[in-house]
Amino acid sequence: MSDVNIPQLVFLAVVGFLVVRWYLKPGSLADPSSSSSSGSRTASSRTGLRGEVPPQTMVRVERVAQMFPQLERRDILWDLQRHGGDVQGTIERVLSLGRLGTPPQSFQPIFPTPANASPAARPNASQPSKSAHPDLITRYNLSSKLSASSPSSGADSPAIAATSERPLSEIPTSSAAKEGWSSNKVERAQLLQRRREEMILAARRKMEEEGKGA
Amino acid sequence: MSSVAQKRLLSEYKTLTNEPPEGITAGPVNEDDIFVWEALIQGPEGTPFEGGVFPAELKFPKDYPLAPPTMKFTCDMWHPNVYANGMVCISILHAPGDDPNHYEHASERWSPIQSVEKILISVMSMLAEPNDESPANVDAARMWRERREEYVGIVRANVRKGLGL
Repeated sequence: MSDVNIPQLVFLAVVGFLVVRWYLKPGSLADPSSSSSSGSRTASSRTGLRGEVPPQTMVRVERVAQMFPQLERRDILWDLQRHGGDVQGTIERVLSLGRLGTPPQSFQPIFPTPANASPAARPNASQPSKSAHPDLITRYNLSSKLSASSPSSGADSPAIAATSERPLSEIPTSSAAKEGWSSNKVERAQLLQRRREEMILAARRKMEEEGKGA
Repeated sequence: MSSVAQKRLLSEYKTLTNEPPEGITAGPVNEDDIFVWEALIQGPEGTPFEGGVFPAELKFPKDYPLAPPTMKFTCDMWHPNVYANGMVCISILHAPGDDPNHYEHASERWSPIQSVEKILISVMSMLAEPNDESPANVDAARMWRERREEYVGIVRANVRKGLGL
């Protein structure tokens, strides 16, 4: 019996040593030879990807993300991990290559959700910021259509107002409203745009008339 | 996964195009990215928002309709349930598991059987009847409660400003 036990103990000791080493020195196993069969598994367990990305790692990721907001955080994390968390190195690679390597499908880190999804974390959220938004006429560039369709003067009665709207080439409101789904993407976009414009222009005309009436 | 979301969004777009609800226009900003929509909502009649047209941006997650979109007004919106940055806070936009206020009924919250149309209609009725229990904009909520005239004044000014008047 004892003859059998000694090799087993030795084997266990070796395996145990390897396991401990694997956990304690994750970076040193990054060379492809040792992780050939389990490359993605090594990568994912290195960041503890069953859980969230640790905060100190997120700080590094965010530093890169601040410089390159268009980069995916997943790609950044992948690159950082493959290069020992060297922020500067990652930045240089982005600058020189214009991109980062694509991580494998199995690399699915869980990023901590930013705490400021709640109202309290929005510090200057008390007053509406003035002039942050352009009005709808400016935004959709409708000023020309406004002057073309708006009954400039003397069109107080809705009937006259309606007739002077005709310059919009077709009968307004009903034209776009009757149309339906087109199989053409461009036509769909045009219909949507027309409906938007009609809605805005109609509201604007109504508001102007109310202003005159008051 | 994303193709499920894309199909669903396209079919909702189609429904909204063929049977547009009163006072609502909505669709993707650019169909190449169907996950970002723009909506126009008319202010409900008989409210300070009457006569106004309010643009908002809807952003859909890749796992829509499992998860709800976010909705953000891209105009000045002074309302108890709209954050100052325009983000709309109503129960239909909250996933069942995510109830920051612990008062919403599960039936009011997001589920895959809700839709863009239902969201927009809910937002319309929210404009008419603010929910005082969960103010996103505390100042607007207080003003709505205590100084209604002032609240109406701000809303009316925003309505006119939004139309370029």
